[in-house]
Amino acid sequence: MTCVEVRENLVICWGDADELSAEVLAHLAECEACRLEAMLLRETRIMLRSLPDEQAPVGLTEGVLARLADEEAQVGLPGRVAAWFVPQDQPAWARAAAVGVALALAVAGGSVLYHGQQPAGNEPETVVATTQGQVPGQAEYDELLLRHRALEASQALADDPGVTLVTYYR
Amino acid sequence: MSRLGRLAAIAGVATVVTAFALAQMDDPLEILRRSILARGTVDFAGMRTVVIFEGGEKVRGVEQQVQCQAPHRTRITVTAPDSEAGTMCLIVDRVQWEYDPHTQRVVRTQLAPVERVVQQRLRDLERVAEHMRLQYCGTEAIAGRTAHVIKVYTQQGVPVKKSWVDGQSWVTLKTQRFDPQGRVKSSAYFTRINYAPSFPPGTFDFQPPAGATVIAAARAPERMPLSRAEQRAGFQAVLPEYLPPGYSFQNDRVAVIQLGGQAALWLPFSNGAETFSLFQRPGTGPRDTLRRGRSITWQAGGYRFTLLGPLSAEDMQQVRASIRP
Repeated sequence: MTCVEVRENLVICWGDADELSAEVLAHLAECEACRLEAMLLRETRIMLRSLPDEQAPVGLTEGVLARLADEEAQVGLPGRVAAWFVPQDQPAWARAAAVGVALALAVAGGSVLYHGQQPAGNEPETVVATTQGQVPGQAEYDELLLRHRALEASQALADDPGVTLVTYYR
Repeated sequence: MSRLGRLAAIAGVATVVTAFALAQMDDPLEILRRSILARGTVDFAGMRTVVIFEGGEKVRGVEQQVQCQAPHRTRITVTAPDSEAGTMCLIVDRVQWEYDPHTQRVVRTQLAPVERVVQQRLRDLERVAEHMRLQYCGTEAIAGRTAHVIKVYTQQGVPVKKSWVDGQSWVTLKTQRFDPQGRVKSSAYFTRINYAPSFPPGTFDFQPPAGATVIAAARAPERMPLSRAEQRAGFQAVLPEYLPPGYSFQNDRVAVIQLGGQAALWLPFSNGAETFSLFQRPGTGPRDTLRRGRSITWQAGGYRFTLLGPLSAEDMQQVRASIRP
């Protein structure tokens, strides 16, 4: 796997090791530059998560997606969005960070404008941005995984926990 | 008869008896039963290799040191590669610890009594024998030991697991698991094993390091038929229309658990050797399919679903696509 391919993967999941393939992880183990890029992406995501949790105004995402659909993209969605804001020759983390910051600011700013135009107490009709509470976090995954492994362990042909440790983690 | 002669005679008789016993022991169900009963009865220590495959290609491999002191102490420590070295699983009596020094995560699980686990597995083995095909494939040498080889197939002839069981100690020396296409997807095998080990003091001691995050596993929930679980949860289950070859819904092993303050249905599916879980609860989730580890989560029809288990990415997507609320 090349550094370019690895960095495209990193951008998609913000460098989260839980969501990277074994091939990408193997590359990261060998390549210091890509490891640094993964670290920067993770830190960018942490920074973005610290921004106020707001909902995007109605129509913002549809407008963005409509424009994206017009492009004959050669890369994935994050790459296409990134190309809007930062030239392709910039590092992946810079493009991802720019997209994140721009969208976060757009959502926060749009939300202020949106709420300013709405009558008080009238909830938005469409929820576009996924709130943090709706995305299953590590804690929920841990709980479900532990429950599932306990069920597996009760079965006649179960492997010992040392094998399932390798199967389910990393 | 001289002393040497007597020893030679005893060795000869022992060899003949062992060979005879191995020749007689060709009932795969009995071998698997003995393997389950051997749990907690044998001391051993050895080195094991675990390899994971995707689509028939090796994607990961680790070396483990395995130390087992009967009746209830086991330590499994990853020794290679360096990036995973030190990760370990420790069982002392009824407590299991898993520790990853790289993430500083500790998982503590309270286990059922060994006797109950053995009984549960023996009951499950009866079910396996009823619903699956067991084949005895002769003997092979693993780590210098003679092992019985058992292959387990679904009724449709799909191989799911192959086990190599030590002909004398009944310890499982090697296992292979197969994907629905019949390709090996995991392999775990001892490269060395010693049945007269000595364990240094402290081998089975563990305290979570300062600063580590300790996660406690929940207790096992009550299992019940689907209809009762639906009544308790207050909504109907949405079952997949597609299941990978050999899998079926475990209609009598459904559970209701609390997730984020809401009742969720836990729907298990098994091919007899492996299980995957579908969790369904009311509410919304990520707009797109979210992958985390060996799970995917999505929302559809006012429900949030999580599919979790040892399925390939392709099978997961097929199952997910066939769940239509």
